[in-house]
Amino acid sequence: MTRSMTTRLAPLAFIAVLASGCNDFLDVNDDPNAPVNARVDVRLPAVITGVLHSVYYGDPPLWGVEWMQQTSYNRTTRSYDELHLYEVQDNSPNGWWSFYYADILNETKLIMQESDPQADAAYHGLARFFSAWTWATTTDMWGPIPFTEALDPAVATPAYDDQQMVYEAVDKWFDEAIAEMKAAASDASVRKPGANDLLFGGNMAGWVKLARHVQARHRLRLSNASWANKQTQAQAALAALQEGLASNADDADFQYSGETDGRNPLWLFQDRGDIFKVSKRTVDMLTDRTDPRLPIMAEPALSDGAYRGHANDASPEPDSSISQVGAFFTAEDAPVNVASFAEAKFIEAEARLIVSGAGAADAPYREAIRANMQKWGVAAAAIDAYIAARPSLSTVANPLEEIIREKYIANYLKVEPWHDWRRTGYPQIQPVPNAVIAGIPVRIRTPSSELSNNEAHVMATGINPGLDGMLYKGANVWWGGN
Amino acid sequence: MRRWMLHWLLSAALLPLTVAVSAAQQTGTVTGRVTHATTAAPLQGAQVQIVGTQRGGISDAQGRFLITGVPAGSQTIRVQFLGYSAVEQPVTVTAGGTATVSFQLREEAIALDAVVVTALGIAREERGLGYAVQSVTTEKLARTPEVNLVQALQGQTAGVQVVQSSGRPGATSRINIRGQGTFTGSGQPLFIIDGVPVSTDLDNEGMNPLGTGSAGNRAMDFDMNNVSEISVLRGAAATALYGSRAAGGVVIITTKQGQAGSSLRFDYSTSAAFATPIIEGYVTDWSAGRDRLLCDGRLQSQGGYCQPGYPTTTGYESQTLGGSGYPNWGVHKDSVPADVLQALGSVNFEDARRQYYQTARSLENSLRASGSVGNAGAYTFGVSYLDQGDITPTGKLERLNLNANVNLRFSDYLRSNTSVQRIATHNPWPVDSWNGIHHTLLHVPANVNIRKGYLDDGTPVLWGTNTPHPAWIAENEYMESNVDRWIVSQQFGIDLPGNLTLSNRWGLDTYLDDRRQYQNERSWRTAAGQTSGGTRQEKINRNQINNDLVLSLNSTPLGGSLTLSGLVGGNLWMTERSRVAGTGSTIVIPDYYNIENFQDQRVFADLPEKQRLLGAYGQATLDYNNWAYVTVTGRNDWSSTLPGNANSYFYPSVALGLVFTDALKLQSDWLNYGKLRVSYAKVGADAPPYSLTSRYGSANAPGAHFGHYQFDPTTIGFPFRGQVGFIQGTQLGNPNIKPESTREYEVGMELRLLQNRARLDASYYDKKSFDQIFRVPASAASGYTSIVRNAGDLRNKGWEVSLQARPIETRDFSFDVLANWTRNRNEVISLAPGIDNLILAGYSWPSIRIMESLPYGVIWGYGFQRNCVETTSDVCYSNQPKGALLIGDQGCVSDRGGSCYGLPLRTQSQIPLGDAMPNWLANFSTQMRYKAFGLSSLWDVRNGSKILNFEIQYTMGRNGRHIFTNDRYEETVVPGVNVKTGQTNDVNLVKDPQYFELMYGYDRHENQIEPGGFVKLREVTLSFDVPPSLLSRFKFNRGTLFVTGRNLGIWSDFSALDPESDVYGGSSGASQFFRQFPAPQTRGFSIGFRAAF
Repeated sequence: MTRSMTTRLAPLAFIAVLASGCNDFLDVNDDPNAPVNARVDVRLPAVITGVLHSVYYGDPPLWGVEWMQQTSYNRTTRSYDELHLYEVQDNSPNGWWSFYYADILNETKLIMQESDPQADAAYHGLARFFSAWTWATTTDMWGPIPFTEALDPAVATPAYDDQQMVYEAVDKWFDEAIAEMKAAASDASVRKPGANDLLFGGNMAGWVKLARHVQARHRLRLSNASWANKQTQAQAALAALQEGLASNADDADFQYSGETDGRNPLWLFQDRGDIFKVSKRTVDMLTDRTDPRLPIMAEPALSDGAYRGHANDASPEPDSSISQVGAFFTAEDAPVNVASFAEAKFIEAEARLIVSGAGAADAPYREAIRANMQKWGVAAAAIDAYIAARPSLSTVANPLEEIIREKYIANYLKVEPWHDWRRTGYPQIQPVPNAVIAGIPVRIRTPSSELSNNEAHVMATGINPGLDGMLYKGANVWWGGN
Repeated sequence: MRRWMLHWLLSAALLPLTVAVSAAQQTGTVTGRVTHATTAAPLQGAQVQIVGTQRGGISDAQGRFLITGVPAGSQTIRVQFLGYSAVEQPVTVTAGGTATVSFQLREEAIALDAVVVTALGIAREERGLGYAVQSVTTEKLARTPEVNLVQALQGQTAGVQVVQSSGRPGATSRINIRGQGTFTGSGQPLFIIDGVPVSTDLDNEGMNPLGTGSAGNRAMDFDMNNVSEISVLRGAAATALYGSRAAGGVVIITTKQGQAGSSLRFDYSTSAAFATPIIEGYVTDWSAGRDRLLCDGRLQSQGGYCQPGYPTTTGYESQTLGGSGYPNWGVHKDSVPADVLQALGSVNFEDARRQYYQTARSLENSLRASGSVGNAGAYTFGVSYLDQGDITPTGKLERLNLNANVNLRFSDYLRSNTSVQRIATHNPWPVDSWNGIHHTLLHVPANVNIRKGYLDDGTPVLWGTNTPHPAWIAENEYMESNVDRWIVSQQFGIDLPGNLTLSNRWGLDTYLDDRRQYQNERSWRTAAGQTSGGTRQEKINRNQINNDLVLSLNSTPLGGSLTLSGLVGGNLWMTERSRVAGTGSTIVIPDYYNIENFQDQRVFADLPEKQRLLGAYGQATLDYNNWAYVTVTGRNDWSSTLPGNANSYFYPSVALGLVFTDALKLQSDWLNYGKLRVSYAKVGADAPPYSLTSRYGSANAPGAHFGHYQFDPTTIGFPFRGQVGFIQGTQLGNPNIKPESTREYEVGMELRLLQNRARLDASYYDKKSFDQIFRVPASAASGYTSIVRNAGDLRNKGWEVSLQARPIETRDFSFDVLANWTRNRNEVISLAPGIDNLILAGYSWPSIRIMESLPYGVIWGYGFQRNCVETTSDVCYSNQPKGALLIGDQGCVSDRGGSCYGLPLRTQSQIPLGDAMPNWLANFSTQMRYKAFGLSSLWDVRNGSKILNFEIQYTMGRNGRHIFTNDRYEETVVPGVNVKTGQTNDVNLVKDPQYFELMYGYDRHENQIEPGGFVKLREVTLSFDVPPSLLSRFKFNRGTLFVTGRNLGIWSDFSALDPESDVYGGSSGASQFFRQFPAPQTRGFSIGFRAAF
């Protein structure tokens, strides 16, 4: 009897499941590991980190560090990209292109859509600021980009817009974002970020200054753009700087944790220190000018303690005989500076040079050098001596070149020198001998994913999607005017 | 002792019956033996029947049988045994007397009235089927002993392609049935063991196939000693009852079962195998160095030597592995200068892999007991232990299988079957693929001694600042997988009135895979203030529960020559997978891998991912006169992965089998049997779990790596500085997904010819898969990088032909052949709107992709510019041949730097370089028997496939190790047309590094494509059945000695000889066409002994 009980039960169990409702049984398609939504306050750290660490200090921008000959590759090892020869494979920009759009631009759009414009004005404003900054960076890298049709999942292949359209919209968004952030700062009922603000710890005033700084940077960037007026852009930059950084204390320094998954990207220069060395061009320039910043920017060569750079594209030299990049910049937990008072003063110097001439530029030029040296911890006497040795901008043949050269040093290991070089041609840099294209890149290569997934619109831009497209100087980009 | 007990029990149980019968009439006894006709070995389990009576018996382990109560007079005795031709003999029985008669059985050339296992494990007569089924029996499997179940299917049936991903123990063997039926899915068949769906999955999450290689798939767990029969269901009509999970075909495995009424028997087998690597394809005649100046491949700081005159300014490092400057461009072995010999004593030239690799040694033992408990049931218990060695000191596959199967008949209407398998697998392996030891070893110049891994003071030998010696790597960097697995099933069956049977079977497959990855401290990095050391320790938990409740109608005559059989059933299936992983980086104290011993630690845990399915199905077969059969099936599934309001889908099949020789009475001496098969089926499939919505997840902010792909980028993961960070995923879910569909037509014919000495079976199929569910790539500018969609049609059609014959048969000798031929034509009819190709394997360049209107698997990369071919260049000299290579003119500067004068020019962009799919596949097996000796062979042929050999890229100009550089420094003129002048190229070049680099290296993908076809003599086995006279002395009933040789012959045009590899471990159908530093395949032999007692 018990036997037949057992055999009856087995099918019954099955029938019981059926009877208990197929729908309950089948209702398991809700991923227990990934929510369908998340509060804005836990999304902000991802956006801040994404923009500062990945967009601003990510790969395409930092390729400029090698191209501007601040560092020099000291191997012949076949790497994935021979960046030191200006080779960028068609797929190398894919991940970055997708991070800009599908991570940052889409996420900031969603935050703006989903947050309450009143109660969450702070988050709303921050999202708009990061969106604007990332849009500007995207067009800085590629020129024409999908803009008006972008970020709409219904449009799988968005058309490309020219850079002017992006820049004009972005400048307005900076203003709107700043207005929202100011309003949030003065309204106690608005929810504001705190510790989840990984840059300013919730200080909205800091964000307003940073936003104005970035806006000034991009306004000045258009000084040679074919569609913009040099004077207007310089004045607009000066106007933005009014609310920008006022001292080194206002600098935006993004702090790394120094742990795995939390390291300064330049740490690779130290951890793989045998590969990227300081460029001979940089060491020679600093030595010529007896610049007291050299021991900060470079480490003495292990073999003899001398400061010695490696010529870009030269045959590899023994590791011990060349200087590594300074530990000040490459420590695991070294902060990364995304905006400095020194840079603000350089922007001011250049803008005043355009608006009022060299005489007006000299003071901010000197303040800029001083601010940078103070930040890097140069002794006061050495600072005074160096600045005193600089001729007045009114007396030099090419004051712009002087400004940009000093700015190039102060913006060591950042993307800004490449941007400045693209629009001014300073400092003068020769392409490396074995370059695979006929010049230093002025644009990042078209991602192959775009060529695969949006080919018609890529081709409609008329820009060569191959390596030669990295020399693109069309009239509708800001670097084209140079 | 126990055996005697069981014997006694058995006879005691039968005794009353015998007595009762003998009292009723005048009877006698028949006794005798059943033996193998050529080997004279006893055959256990043969059915002995007195024709026309109910009397009968089964032969015991010695082949003996005893039948009592046989009515006196002339009787005919019939002996039947599966796989052997039946034999009848007359005998005269006297009342109270004993007649003795012996039977010699011969293995059937062609199985007549074969019974095959079909869907749901239902055994059906092959003649009634309307689709092709090919099964592989124990005898055939024993002929070519394999430790991997998928590998064992190689060369056994038509329509099936098996590719072993590498020679590593535990490496995945990928199986493809009737071509690739899915774009991005694995396309692997459903495996069923004793009615239970089991996982053969790769569980590759967290692995980086291109970086560190793949784990092996879970087919490595199964014990081949426990397999009785494997049945391969190829077409949709054959698999329709299994539903969506069977879109890639079904492999049904029946394990060994005890036989009711048989006596206790032990089966023992033991074998030892030895294998050596196949390492052809690389130069061994040239030393380290450059410009024909020798170096010894050691760092200067570690006492390296370079020939006088060598430019030391570039550092000795670049001549070593880590430098990969020009490491293999030193002197030829026949022209080592005297001063070098004086300095070094002697210079030996030998492939470093020959020095490093060892002979892989394996041992396998298996013991099984089976028997019956009277007529109440039968049992089998087995244990197998495999210790498979590798050619590296690290690799290994240790496997312990315990299994039990018990059949019980509780009453004449109620029975049960219980099957339990317990599996423990230990599988360590050295890091594979790009970062792997096999890659490192490829580069070692032939004069470098790699036997010495440490300097005299104990410091590791380095080949560059961060390239340690392989011996150091073997001890310090490896991975392992440890699996604990249960596969259990329980079935009850009840016979009901009205010829009905109700049965229910629960099955469970559950395992825990404990994965570990070890990277020890690199002390030289610590000394330089740099980081090293890491571990990943992961537990993957998977389980799968399946239940089938089936009410079946056994064959029931309907009158008028019609017979009906059928079933209705319900299926419940649920699967869960979860994992927890911890990682540590920057090791503190060397050699200790507890995660606490790492500076940075992280923990990841995934809650169970669930997928469930309910199905209801039915099948009916109408049999007319035993020569016409129609089978219809229908199944409806409800899946958890589809939208709640549209989660139900139905699919039907119909199959017709017509034995036309019976219908039309066409039998003749040469045509004994002919059958026509026609079928049509439609099968649906659901979506991957969680495809309907977009999700938030913990963010990862990528960091710069300055174009250096081999760097670990400085990604920021959350929590970061105590803050969590979430971000929306980049895949857009789709709440409107509908099921994907496959429909297939199949026609086939089977003929048995020449008095059943030959059998020809041919099938043609046409399978179209449409509305495929996959992540359709989108422009990231849309906000998402992919969108889950129903898109794309894929078509496979082809021929499968099998020929089986016994051309020779004499008293002591027989010769059998089986040939299978398969030709599959695949076409990607459409992808998704706006998408013209999809990357399946490789890098963005080169890669294997799929493209619209081309076969699945297109090699994609940079080609060469060609005359008058618009897709590669805009140059056209009409007086020169179309398609001729365009050659650089004087002053030409290559895209790689340096001169390209006289060398072909690369295309500006990547182009499709040809499809990789084979033209046809064939395999051929033979078996000869002479008295007690057997000789079998298995041949395998792949025709017309192409492989993108990524190894060429890295072993060419700069490296100088590939065999293509063996004719270096000879003069040559590249045939082609000068791009500027239009004249035929006449530039005389010396084959120097620049030549090889611009012809084959780096992005010259067109020249990196190699023919992937081959002819392989996969196995040759010589067996010897030990004579019974010798065996009886050791109380054995059967004993077979065998020697097997594997991969004894490979014929191919592939530079590394054996083109079979798969760095992705079979996760994609296209990855077998992309070669990147696999563990070498091996050749070797095994020797073994099988006995029964």
